[in-house]
Order: sequence, then C-alpha cells, then structure tokens
Amino acid sequence: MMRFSTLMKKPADWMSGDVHQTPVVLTSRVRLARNVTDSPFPGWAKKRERQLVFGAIRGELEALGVMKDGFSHELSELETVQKQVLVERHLISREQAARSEGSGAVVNRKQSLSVMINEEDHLRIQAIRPGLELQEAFELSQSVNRGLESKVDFAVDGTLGYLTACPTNLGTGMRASAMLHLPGLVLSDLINQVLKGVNKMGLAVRGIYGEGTESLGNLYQISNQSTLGESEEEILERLSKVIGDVAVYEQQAREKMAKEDGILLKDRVGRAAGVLGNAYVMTSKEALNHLSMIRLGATQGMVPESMVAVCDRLVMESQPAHLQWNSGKKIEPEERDVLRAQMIREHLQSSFPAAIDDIDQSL
Amino acid sequence: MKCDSCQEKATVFYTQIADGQVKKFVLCEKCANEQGITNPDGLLSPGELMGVGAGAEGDSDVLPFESAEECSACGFTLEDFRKIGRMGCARCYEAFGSELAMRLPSMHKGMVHQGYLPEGLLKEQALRGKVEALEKELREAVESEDYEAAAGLRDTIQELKKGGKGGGK
Repeated sequence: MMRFSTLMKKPADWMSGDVHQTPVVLTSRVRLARNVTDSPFPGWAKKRERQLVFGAIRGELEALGVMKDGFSHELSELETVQKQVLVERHLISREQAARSEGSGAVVNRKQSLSVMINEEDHLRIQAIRPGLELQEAFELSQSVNRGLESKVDFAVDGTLGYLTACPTNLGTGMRASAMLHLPGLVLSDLINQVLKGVNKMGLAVRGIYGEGTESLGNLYQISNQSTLGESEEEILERLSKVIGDVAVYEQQAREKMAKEDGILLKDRVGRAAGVLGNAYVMTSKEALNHLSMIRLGATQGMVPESMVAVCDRLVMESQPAHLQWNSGKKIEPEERDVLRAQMIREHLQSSFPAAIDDIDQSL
Repeated sequence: MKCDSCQEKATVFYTQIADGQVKKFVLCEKCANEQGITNPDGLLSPGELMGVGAGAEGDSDVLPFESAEECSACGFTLEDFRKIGRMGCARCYEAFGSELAMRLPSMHKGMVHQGYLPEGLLKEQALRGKVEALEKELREAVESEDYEAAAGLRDTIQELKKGGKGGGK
C-alpha cells in the first residue's frame, strides 16, 4: 500500500504542467456518485451501517487492477493536516475531511483516480486528467464503476438512473468539470460576459479560490448542473464544446493584449516576478494573483515555458496544509506567510534571472 | 401534518402545476373526498379548488397522489426530505416519489434517465419500451373495435411481461 509520505513526494500525473496541453484548461475532472441498495445513505446511516459499507467497498476497491498498490485509508487513521492536504490536492472533499470512522478514500498510485467512500453518497468515484480531456476522465471513472458493478449491488432504477442521496445528482450521478485559468478575460474585463454566457448554457461556474464572486488567481471551474434526462455523452459533449470555446476566447484575449497593450502586460508579469522573487511575507491571496501573472507570461513567451509547471506546483504547495506538512511542524498563520514567501523565493531563484532576461528581450 | 381545510390529520397530498407554478396543499381524507381529489375524473377545476374562480383547465396538469409519511425501509420521513432536500436511502425514492417528481423539473433537463445502465437493467428497459408500444397499439385496436387484433396483442403483452419477470434483475 502507498504511504502518505510517498503520495506527498510524488506529484499527481495530472500536474504535468505541460504548457502545450494546459495553456488555459488545467485539469478535467469527472465524478460518479454511486450507492449500494441495502444500506441507508451515509448521512442517514448509523455508524455501524457505515462501517459495514466502508469495509465491504474498500476491500472490493483495493482488489481492482486500476487501484493496485494505491493509497487507502479510513479518515480516522489520518491526522487533521493530512486530511487537509488531501483536500488541497482535490483527492477528497472538504465535507469528507470532517468525517472520520466509517469514511475513507482509496487513491491510485498516479493520483488520477480517487474514490471517496461514505461522503454524501456511499461512493464518489473521481478521475482527474490534465488539460481538456473530459471524455478520457469519464472513461477512467467508468472503469472503476464497471469493475465494481459485478461485485457490489448498486442502487439504480430504469427510469431515474443511479439513485443518490441528493436528487440533484440523480440519473447519471455524473458531475464533470474543468479548471480554467482565465487572466486574459479578467484583465480585458470580458470575464463576466463570458461567464454569463456559460451560465445560460445550463452550466455552473465558480471561482476555485476565494469566497463569493471573488476568484483568486483567475482560476475558474465550469461544470454541468443537470444529471438526469441526458446521456453522459451528451453532457460531456456540450461541456467540452463550451469549455473549448471559453479557452479560445481566453487565447484571443491574451493575444490581443500582447499585441495592443504589450508593455502593460510585460509590466504586470515583471512586477509579479519582482515581488515573488523578493518578498519575505506573502499571503495566499497575493501568491495566487502573482503566480497567475507569471503563468500568463509563460504562455505568451515572456518567461520560459517551464515556468507553467513551476507555477502550478507552487499554487498547490503554497496552500496552508501543504506548507504545514512540508515544514514538519505546527505553524501559526503569520508564520505561514513567511514560509510561503520563502518557499516561493527558493523555487524561483534558479529560474528567475533567466526569466527577467526573457522579459527584457521580449520588450 | 394537519389538513388545510380542517384540523384532521392530512393523508392526501395534492400538487398542482399550472403555468409553471407549483402549488401544494394537504387534506384529510374527508375533505379530499368532498373536493373530489381522490377520484381524478371528478376533479374540480384547479381554480375552483384554490377558491379563485374558474381556471382554464386545459392549461394545467393535475397530479393527485398519496405520498408516504415515512420510508418503510429506513424510517426517513417526508418532513426530513422537505427540510434537508436529501433522501435517507434508495427506497425513499419510491416512498416520496410524487414529492420528488414535483422538484425534478427545476433540477434537471429531463425526468427520465438517458445514460449508462448496467446490462441487466438495459434489457429490462428495452422490454418495458416494447410493452408500452404494444399497449398503445392495443388501445388503438380497441378503439377501432378490431377485437381480434386486440386479443392477439393482449396475449403477446402478457407473454412478454411473464418472460421479463423471469429474466429481469
């Protein structure tokens, strides 16, 4: 079985940071909600019932070829900081991190598949792929579903489809989403217009970091809302088309900015590089927004392309639980900002002299 | 839960969908009988029932139903469902089916699953589609007084249903 420390050391295979694959769409994610027939849903089940379901499903999951030698834990076996790290890696949900006995997660070695047991539903099968690969992500999650369905009796109805704890997930039980980096649309003030259009297509949009309408780091998630009345293929096709369109708008906005406001764009990227490379106290909000500018600069040839992977990794590792786990001790929030600044400085020092040269040359 | 017209225990749950507006009320059996709700053919027009004068009956679908107060499998109640919007177990979907049917249109693109199903259920679903088509033919045959065809159709349907029970999940 994979240890927590191994999982931490190995970046997930979807964190590839390949600029050609992920200039705008960072990741695609599909999750399938499934429940067993003979036990109440986790929110209504008694502890004993939850534990029985957990034991049975965990065993079947670990036996699946695709999950071989993966990470498998009951949440009660993990420390709070470890649970938070899994949340920050999108391997479990915030809601599930609050649970303990009779609830857990099985993750494959590549961290491309993660199955939450006894979250809101008995099973939440999740697959993550880099770039815009919703169909591939669906097939990956479906491979776990098919592997389990001959062994576990899933609650499914010919008319209503898969029965879920919340009726908003009925039918396919599928929520598909993509994470997009949209600094071009934000800086050209086109973001609200585009997001409204996405909403009109019956899709949901939200900022990934930050509260309410604020989106830190210009990162957005687009997902389907309806799960009943259309096939998985229809949902994925519409979603892929809309996300593909948004990615094109974003690329156009970036090119227009580089052409018409080149000096302004270089100024933003250069200032972000200056702050990240020289600050000693850095809040997560500041880090996310500056890293967003460096990532943008890397896709526009202002800083080396390899900076895309560095940015994506720093966005992940500058989160509170990652900082605390990597520091190996309990840290206070103010101390966190110091550690964050230090980690970013250290990561960037090697790449930055070259980066700043690139900015000069692109002037 | 008490009846909307008197103080008796309510046993009939009535949902009216007209012009996209959903109206719900609950009645005891006596009041429901007086209103003609337990007999769909004897329904008053929605307008009359709501006490707002005659309504345009053609514009509305009236779904009279009785809904369970509690899921017999897991003990989750209709009140629980109304409060938290979630079900207690898979069987709750039968117990609170009518309440659910009312909520689905605002959540989803359709009311019927179109996606992936395990093989056993797929067969069952195909069979049901076949039976439904034949039943429609049967009704048409009866209407056109073609009793010979109707008898044949009836036998085929019965056979299919029998076979389906043996082979289904």
